[in-house]
Amino acid sequence: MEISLKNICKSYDDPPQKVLDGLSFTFGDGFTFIMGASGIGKTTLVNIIAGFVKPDSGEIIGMEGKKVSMVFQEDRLLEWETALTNVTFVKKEREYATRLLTQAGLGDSLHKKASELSGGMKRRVCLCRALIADYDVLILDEPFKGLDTELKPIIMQMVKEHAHGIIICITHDPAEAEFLGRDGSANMVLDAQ
Amino acid sequence: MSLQRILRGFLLALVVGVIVAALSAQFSVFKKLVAPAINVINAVPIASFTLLALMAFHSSQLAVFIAFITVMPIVFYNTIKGIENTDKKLLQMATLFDVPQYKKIFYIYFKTVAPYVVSAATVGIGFAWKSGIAAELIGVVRGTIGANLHTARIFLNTADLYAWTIAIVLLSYLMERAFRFFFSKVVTWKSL
Repeated sequence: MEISLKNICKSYDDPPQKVLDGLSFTFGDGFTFIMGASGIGKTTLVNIIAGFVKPDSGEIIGMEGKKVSMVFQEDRLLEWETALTNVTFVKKEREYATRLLTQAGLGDSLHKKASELSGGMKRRVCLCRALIADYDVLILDEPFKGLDTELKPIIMQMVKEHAHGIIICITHDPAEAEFLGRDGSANMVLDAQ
Repeated sequence: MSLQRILRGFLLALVVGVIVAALSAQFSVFKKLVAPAINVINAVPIASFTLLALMAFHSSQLAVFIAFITVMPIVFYNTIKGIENTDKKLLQMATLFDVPQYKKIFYIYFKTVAPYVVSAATVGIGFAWKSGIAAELIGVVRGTIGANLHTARIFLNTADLYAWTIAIVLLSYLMERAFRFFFSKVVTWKSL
Protein backbone atom coordinates (compact mmCIF):
# COMPACT_ATOMS: atom_id res chain seq x y z
CA MET A 1 0.00 0.00 0.00
CA GLU A 2 1.38 3.43 -0.99
CA ILE A 3 0.47 7.08 -1.14
CA SER A 4 2.49 9.34 -3.41
CA LEU A 5 2.74 13.11 -3.21
CA LYS A 6 3.73 14.79 -6.47
CA ASN A 7 4.99 18.38 -6.48
CA ILE A 8 2.79 19.56 -3.63
CA CYS A 9 2.84 23.35 -3.17
CA LYS A 10 1.05 25.33 -0.51
CA SER A 11 1.24 29.00 0.43
CA TYR A 12 -0.62 31.09 2.98
CA ASP A 13 -1.62 34.71 2.48
CA ASP A 14 -1.67 36.01 6.01
CA PRO A 15 1.20 36.29 6.68
CA PRO A 16 2.48 35.55 3.16
CA GLN A 17 4.43 32.32 3.45
CA LYS A 18 5.28 29.45 1.15
CA VAL A 19 5.20 26.37 3.37
CA LEU A 20 5.46 23.58 0.82
CA ASP A 21 7.30 24.04 -2.46
CA GLY A 22 7.10 21.14 -4.90
CA LEU A 23 7.22 18.37 -2.31
CA SER A 24 7.26 14.83 -3.67
CA PHE A 25 7.38 11.73 -1.52
CA THR A 26 5.99 8.22 -1.35
CA PHE A 27 4.62 6.84 1.91
CA GLY A 28 4.59 3.08 2.27
CA ASP A 29 3.41 0.66 4.96
CA GLY A 30 4.85 1.20 8.42
CA PHE A 31 6.05 4.33 10.16
CA THR A 32 7.23 7.40 8.30
CA PHE A 33 8.38 10.27 10.48
CA ILE A 34 8.08 13.91 9.58
CA MET A 35 10.51 16.04 11.51
CA GLY A 36 11.75 19.58 11.27
CA ALA A 37 11.55 22.97 12.91
CA SER A 38 8.23 24.52 13.93
CA GLY A 39 6.33 26.34 11.20
CA ILE A 40 7.86 24.57 8.21
CA GLY A 41 4.61 22.94 7.17
CA LYS A 42 4.51 19.55 8.89
CA THR A 43 0.92 19.94 10.06
CA THR A 44 -0.05 21.53 6.73
CA LEU A 45 1.30 18.47 4.96
CA VAL A 46 -0.66 15.97 7.07
CA ASN A 47 -3.78 18.15 6.77
CA ILE A 48 -3.37 17.96 2.98
CA ILE A 49 -3.08 14.16 3.19
CA ALA A 50 -6.14 14.00 5.48
CA GLY A 51 -8.08 16.16 3.00
CA PHE A 52 -8.63 19.13 5.35
CA VAL A 53 -6.44 21.50 3.33
CA LYS A 54 -6.32 21.79 -0.47
CA PRO A 55 -2.85 22.15 -1.97
CA ASP A 56 -2.26 25.07 -4.36
CA SER A 57 -0.85 22.61 -6.88
CA GLY A 58 0.37 19.05 -7.11
CA GLU A 59 -1.43 15.78 -6.58
CA ILE A 60 -1.80 12.94 -4.13
CA ILE A 61 -1.95 9.52 -5.73
CA GLY A 62 -3.34 6.48 -3.96
CA MET A 63 -5.67 8.07 -1.40
CA GLU A 64 -8.85 7.01 -3.23
CA GLY A 65 -11.02 4.88 -0.98
CA LYS A 66 -8.52 4.92 1.88
CA LYS A 67 -9.75 5.54 5.39
CA VAL A 68 -7.78 7.95 7.54
CA SER A 69 -7.45 8.03 11.31
CA MET A 70 -5.64 10.79 13.13
CA VAL A 71 -4.30 12.13 16.37
CA PHE A 72 -4.75 15.85 15.82
CA GLN A 73 -2.32 18.50 16.97
CA GLU A 74 -5.06 19.69 19.34
CA ASP A 75 -6.96 17.02 21.27
CA ARG A 76 -10.41 17.59 19.70
CA LEU A 77 -12.11 15.56 22.42
CA LEU A 78 -15.75 15.78 23.44
CA GLU A 79 -14.85 17.49 26.72
CA TRP A 80 -18.28 16.79 28.25
CA GLU A 81 -18.16 13.06 27.55
CA THR A 82 -16.21 10.33 29.34
CA ALA A 83 -12.88 8.94 28.18
CA LEU A 84 -14.63 5.72 27.16
CA THR A 85 -17.36 7.53 25.20
CA ASN A 86 -14.73 9.60 23.41
CA VAL A 87 -13.16 6.39 22.14
CA THR A 88 -16.38 4.49 21.37
CA PHE A 89 -17.64 7.63 19.60
CA VAL A 90 -15.62 6.63 16.53
CA LYS A 91 -16.20 2.87 16.79
CA LYS A 92 -18.69 1.13 19.00
CA GLU A 93 -16.42 -1.54 20.42
CA ARG A 94 -16.68 -1.03 24.15
CA GLU A 95 -14.56 -4.01 25.09
CA TYR A 96 -11.67 -3.11 22.79
CA ALA A 97 -11.91 0.55 23.83
CA THR A 98 -11.72 -0.44 27.51
CA ARG A 99 -8.73 -2.66 26.79
CA LEU A 100 -6.91 0.10 24.90
CA LEU A 101 -7.61 2.71 27.56
CA THR A 102 -6.51 0.33 30.30
CA GLN A 103 -3.32 -0.43 28.42
CA ALA A 104 -2.77 3.33 28.17
CA GLY A 105 -2.98 3.55 31.97
CA LEU A 106 -6.48 5.01 32.02
CA GLY A 107 -8.27 2.01 33.53
CA ASP A 108 -9.32 4.07 36.55
CA SER A 109 -10.44 7.02 34.45
CA LEU A 110 -12.72 5.30 31.94
CA HIS A 111 -15.79 7.10 33.24
CA LYS A 112 -14.17 10.44 33.97
CA LYS A 113 -15.19 13.29 31.69
CA ALA A 114 -12.47 14.47 29.31
CA SER A 115 -12.62 17.92 30.92
CA GLU A 116 -11.50 16.31 34.21
CA LEU A 117 -8.43 14.67 32.66
CA SER A 118 -4.90 16.11 32.60
CA GLY A 119 -3.20 17.08 29.32
CA GLY A 120 -1.24 13.82 29.17
CA MET A 121 -4.33 11.73 29.92
CA LYS A 122 -6.27 13.50 27.17
CA ARG A 123 -3.46 12.76 24.73
CA ARG A 124 -3.70 9.08 25.59
CA VAL A 125 -7.47 9.13 24.99
CA CYS A 126 -6.76 10.70 21.58
CA LEU A 127 -4.33 7.93 20.77
CA CYS A 128 -6.82 5.22 21.79
CA ARG A 129 -9.51 6.92 19.67
CA ALA A 130 -7.21 6.97 16.64
CA LEU A 131 -6.15 3.37 17.13
CA ILE A 132 -9.66 1.92 17.52
CA ALA A 133 -10.94 3.49 14.28
CA ASP A 134 -10.95 1.64 10.96
CA TYR A 135 -8.16 3.04 8.83
CA ASP A 136 -5.62 2.47 6.13
CA VAL A 137 -3.64 5.60 6.90
CA LEU A 138 -2.86 6.66 10.47
CA ILE A 139 -1.68 10.23 10.97
CA LEU A 140 -0.09 11.09 14.30
CA ASP A 141 0.56 14.80 14.84
CA GLU A 142 2.87 15.00 17.85
CA PRO A 143 1.05 12.10 19.51
CA PHE A 144 3.23 11.91 22.62
CA LYS A 145 3.10 15.61 23.43
CA GLY A 146 2.62 16.16 27.16
CA LEU A 147 3.36 12.57 28.20
CA ASP A 148 5.81 12.15 31.06
CA THR A 149 9.09 10.35 30.44
CA GLU A 150 8.09 7.23 32.40
CA LEU A 151 4.84 6.73 30.52
CA LYS A 152 6.11 7.57 27.05
CA PRO A 153 7.82 4.22 26.27
CA ILE A 154 4.71 2.31 27.43
CA ILE A 155 2.45 4.37 25.18
CA MET A 156 4.89 4.17 22.27
CA GLN A 157 4.95 0.38 22.69
CA MET A 158 1.15 0.37 22.65
CA VAL A 159 1.12 2.37 19.41
CA LYS A 160 3.68 0.00 17.92
CA GLU A 161 1.51 -2.99 18.83
CA HIS A 162 -1.78 -1.67 17.53
CA ALA A 163 -0.91 0.67 14.63
CA HIS A 164 -1.00 -0.75 11.12
CA GLY A 165 -1.06 0.36 7.49
CA ILE A 166 0.59 3.60 6.45
CA ILE A 167 1.58 5.49 9.60
CA ILE A 168 2.68 9.10 9.25
CA CYS A 169 4.06 10.54 12.47
CA ILE A 170 5.08 14.12 13.17
CA THR A 171 7.61 14.38 15.94
CA HIS A 172 10.30 16.72 17.23
CA ASP A 173 12.03 13.96 19.13
CA PRO A 174 14.44 11.72 17.17
CA ALA A 175 14.29 9.24 20.08
CA GLU A 176 10.58 8.66 19.38
CA ALA A 177 11.36 7.97 15.72
CA GLU A 178 14.14 5.63 16.71
CA PHE A 179 11.94 3.72 19.16
CA LEU A 180 8.98 3.35 16.80
CA GLY A 181 10.98 2.89 13.61
CA ARG A 182 13.40 0.23 14.72
CA ASP A 183 12.00 -2.18 12.16
CA GLY A 184 13.33 -0.07 9.28
CA SER A 185 10.69 2.61 8.74
CA ALA A 186 11.42 5.32 6.25
CA ASN A 187 12.46 8.67 7.66
CA MET A 188 11.36 11.84 6.01
CA VAL A 189 12.77 15.14 7.15
CA LEU A 190 11.03 18.30 6.03
CA ASP A 191 13.40 21.21 5.77
CA ALA A 192 12.67 24.90 5.86
CA GLN A 193 12.07 26.03 2.29
CA MET B 1 -58.49 26.15 27.15
CA SER B 2 -56.04 29.04 26.65
CA LEU B 3 -53.24 27.12 28.37
CA GLN B 4 -53.74 24.07 26.18
CA ARG B 5 -53.86 26.08 22.94
CA ILE B 6 -50.91 28.32 23.73
CA LEU B 7 -48.89 25.30 24.86
CA ARG B 8 -49.70 23.53 21.57
CA GLY B 9 -48.64 26.57 19.55
CA PHE B 10 -45.47 26.96 21.58
CA LEU B 11 -44.43 23.30 21.31
CA LEU B 12 -45.20 23.26 17.60
CA ALA B 13 -43.03 26.38 17.15
CA LEU B 14 -40.23 24.75 19.11
CA VAL B 15 -40.25 21.59 16.99
CA VAL B 16 -40.75 23.33 13.63
CA GLY B 17 -38.23 26.10 14.48
CA VAL B 18 -35.50 23.58 15.33
CA ILE B 19 -36.22 21.40 12.27
CA VAL B 20 -36.35 24.35 9.86
CA ALA B 21 -33.11 25.75 11.34
CA ALA B 22 -31.39 22.36 11.05
CA LEU B 23 -32.48 22.01 7.41
CA SER B 24 -31.38 25.60 6.70
CA ALA B 25 -27.96 24.94 8.18
CA GLN B 26 -27.63 21.76 6.12
CA PHE B 27 -28.97 23.05 2.79
CA SER B 28 -28.17 26.64 1.77
CA VAL B 29 -30.87 26.58 -0.92
CA PHE B 30 -33.47 25.75 1.72
CA LYS B 31 -32.18 28.61 3.89
CA LYS B 32 -32.41 31.03 0.95
CA LEU B 33 -36.05 30.01 0.45
CA VAL B 34 -37.09 30.01 4.09
CA ALA B 35 -35.18 32.94 5.63
CA PRO B 36 -37.10 35.71 3.78
CA ALA B 37 -40.43 34.13 4.77
CA ILE B 38 -39.37 34.02 8.42
CA ASN B 39 -38.16 37.62 8.23
CA VAL B 40 -41.61 38.62 6.95
CA ILE B 41 -43.36 36.60 9.69
CA ASN B 42 -41.13 38.33 12.24
CA ALA B 43 -41.97 41.81 10.93
CA VAL B 44 -45.76 41.52 10.49
CA PRO B 45 -47.71 42.82 13.55
CA ILE B 46 -49.58 40.24 15.63
CA ALA B 47 -52.84 42.19 15.13
CA SER B 48 -52.55 41.82 11.32
CA PHE B 49 -51.84 38.11 11.60
CA THR B 50 -54.76 37.68 14.00
CA LEU B 51 -57.20 39.37 11.64
CA LEU B 52 -55.90 37.42 8.65
CA ALA B 53 -56.06 34.18 10.63
CA LEU B 54 -59.61 34.90 11.72
CA MET B 55 -60.59 34.93 8.07
CA ALA B 56 -58.70 31.72 7.32
CA PHE B 57 -59.22 29.47 10.39
CA HIS B 58 -61.81 28.61 12.92
CA SER B 59 -61.34 30.97 15.86
CA SER B 60 -60.70 28.03 18.22
CA GLN B 61 -57.33 27.48 16.54
CA LEU B 62 -56.38 31.16 16.62
CA ALA B 63 -54.20 31.08 19.76
CA VAL B 64 -52.35 27.97 18.51
CA PHE B 65 -51.52 29.67 15.23
CA ILE B 66 -50.57 33.05 16.70
CA ALA B 67 -48.39 31.52 19.46
CA PHE B 68 -46.72 29.40 16.78
CA ILE B 69 -46.10 32.30 14.41
CA THR B 70 -44.67 34.45 17.22
CA VAL B 71 -42.34 31.88 18.76
CA MET B 72 -41.11 30.05 15.64
CA PRO B 73 -38.82 32.85 14.33
CA ILE B 74 -37.23 33.24 17.78
CA VAL B 75 -36.47 29.51 17.93
CA PHE B 76 -35.29 29.50 14.30
CA TYR B 77 -32.80 32.38 14.69
CA ASN B 78 -31.41 31.07 17.97
CA THR B 79 -31.02 27.51 16.71
CA ILE B 80 -29.24 28.73 13.55
CA LYS B 81 -26.86 30.74 15.75
CA GLY B 82 -26.21 27.66 17.89
CA ILE B 83 -25.51 25.49 14.85
CA GLU B 84 -23.15 28.13 13.41
CA ASN B 85 -21.26 28.30 16.70
CA THR B 86 -20.71 24.54 16.85
CA ASP B 87 -17.02 23.68 17.08
CA LYS B 88 -15.91 23.13 13.48
CA LYS B 89 -12.83 21.19 14.55
CA LEU B 90 -14.98 18.65 16.39
CA LEU B 91 -17.19 18.28 13.33
CA GLN B 92 -14.08 17.82 11.17
CA MET B 93 -12.88 15.13 13.58
CA ALA B 94 -16.24 13.34 13.42
CA THR B 95 -16.25 13.51 9.61
CA LEU B 96 -12.72 12.11 9.40
CA PHE B 97 -13.75 9.15 11.56
CA ASP B 98 -16.91 8.56 9.45
CA VAL B 99 -19.15 9.15 12.45
CA PRO B 100 -22.81 8.87 11.38
CA GLN B 101 -24.90 12.05 11.27
CA TYR B 102 -27.19 11.02 14.16
CA LYS B 103 -24.15 10.67 16.42
CA LYS B 104 -22.86 14.09 15.38
CA ILE B 105 -26.25 15.57 16.27
CA PHE B 106 -26.50 13.71 19.59
CA TYR B 107 -22.92 14.19 20.80
CA ILE B 108 -21.75 17.46 19.22
CA TYR B 109 -24.62 19.66 18.02
CA PHE B 110 -26.85 18.91 21.02
CA LYS B 111 -24.27 20.28 23.45
CA THR B 112 -23.82 23.57 21.57
CA VAL B 113 -27.32 24.14 20.29
CA ALA B 114 -29.27 23.16 23.44
CA PRO B 115 -28.51 26.35 25.43
CA TYR B 116 -29.60 28.45 22.44
CA VAL B 117 -32.89 26.53 22.15
CA VAL B 118 -33.52 26.79 25.90
CA SER B 119 -32.84 30.53 25.78
CA ALA B 120 -35.21 30.92 22.80
CA ALA B 121 -37.87 28.82 24.50
CA THR B 122 -37.62 30.79 27.74
CA VAL B 123 -38.14 34.08 25.89
CA GLY B 124 -40.67 32.40 23.60
CA ILE B 125 -42.97 31.24 26.41
CA GLY B 126 -43.60 34.85 27.44
CA PHE B 127 -44.20 35.88 23.84
CA ALA B 128 -46.50 32.90 23.24
CA TRP B 129 -48.70 33.99 26.14
CA LYS B 130 -48.70 37.67 25.19
CA SER B 131 -49.54 37.00 21.56
CA GLY B 132 -51.93 34.10 22.22
CA ILE B 133 -54.01 36.07 24.68
CA ALA B 134 -53.96 39.15 22.43
CA ALA B 135 -55.26 37.00 19.59
CA GLU B 136 -58.02 35.53 21.77
CA LEU B 137 -58.96 39.06 22.82
CA ILE B 138 -59.10 40.38 19.26
CA GLY B 139 -60.97 37.31 18.06
CA VAL B 140 -63.15 37.15 21.21
CA VAL B 141 -62.78 33.38 21.32
CA ARG B 142 -65.40 31.95 23.70
CA GLY B 143 -64.27 30.35 26.97
CA THR B 144 -60.72 31.72 26.80
CA ILE B 145 -58.71 34.09 28.96
CA GLY B 146 -58.69 36.58 26.08
CA ALA B 147 -62.49 36.58 25.92
CA ASN B 148 -62.66 37.11 29.72
CA LEU B 149 -60.27 40.05 29.39
CA HIS B 150 -62.52 41.41 26.64
CA THR B 151 -65.59 41.12 28.91
CA ALA B 152 -63.73 42.79 31.78
CA ARG B 153 -62.77 45.64 29.45
CA ILE B 154 -66.36 46.14 28.20
CA PHE B 155 -67.74 46.27 31.76
CA LEU B 156 -64.73 48.26 33.01
CA ASN B 157 -64.22 45.54 35.62
CA THR B 158 -60.71 46.44 36.82
CA ALA B 159 -60.61 43.68 39.46
CA ASP B 160 -61.26 40.98 36.84
CA LEU B 161 -58.72 42.59 34.55
CA TYR B 162 -56.03 42.42 37.25
CA ALA B 163 -57.06 38.90 38.25
CA TRP B 164 -56.78 37.57 34.68
CA THR B 165 -53.48 39.40 34.15
CA ILE B 166 -52.04 37.81 37.31
CA ALA B 167 -53.36 34.42 36.15
CA ILE B 168 -51.59 34.88 32.79
CA VAL B 169 -48.30 35.85 34.48
CA LEU B 170 -48.55 32.85 36.81
CA LEU B 171 -49.36 30.40 34.02
CA SER B 172 -46.51 31.78 31.90
CA TYR B 173 -44.12 31.48 34.85
CA LEU B 174 -45.22 27.92 35.66
CA MET B 175 -44.89 26.90 32.02
CA GLU B 176 -41.36 28.31 31.91
CA ARG B 177 -40.39 26.49 35.14
CA ALA B 178 -41.86 23.24 33.83
CA PHE B 179 -39.92 23.60 30.58
CA ARG B 180 -36.66 24.34 32.40
CA PHE B 181 -37.25 21.34 34.72
CA PHE B 182 -37.96 19.06 31.77
CA PHE B 183 -34.88 20.27 29.94
CA SER B 184 -32.59 19.90 32.95
CA LYS B 185 -33.78 16.26 33.12
CA VAL B 186 -32.97 15.76 29.45
CA VAL B 187 -29.49 17.23 29.92
CA THR B 188 -28.87 15.08 33.02
CA TRP B 189 -29.97 11.98 31.13
CA LYS B 190 -27.76 12.96 28.21
CA SER B 191 -24.74 13.35 30.51
CA LEU B 192 -25.10 9.84 31.99
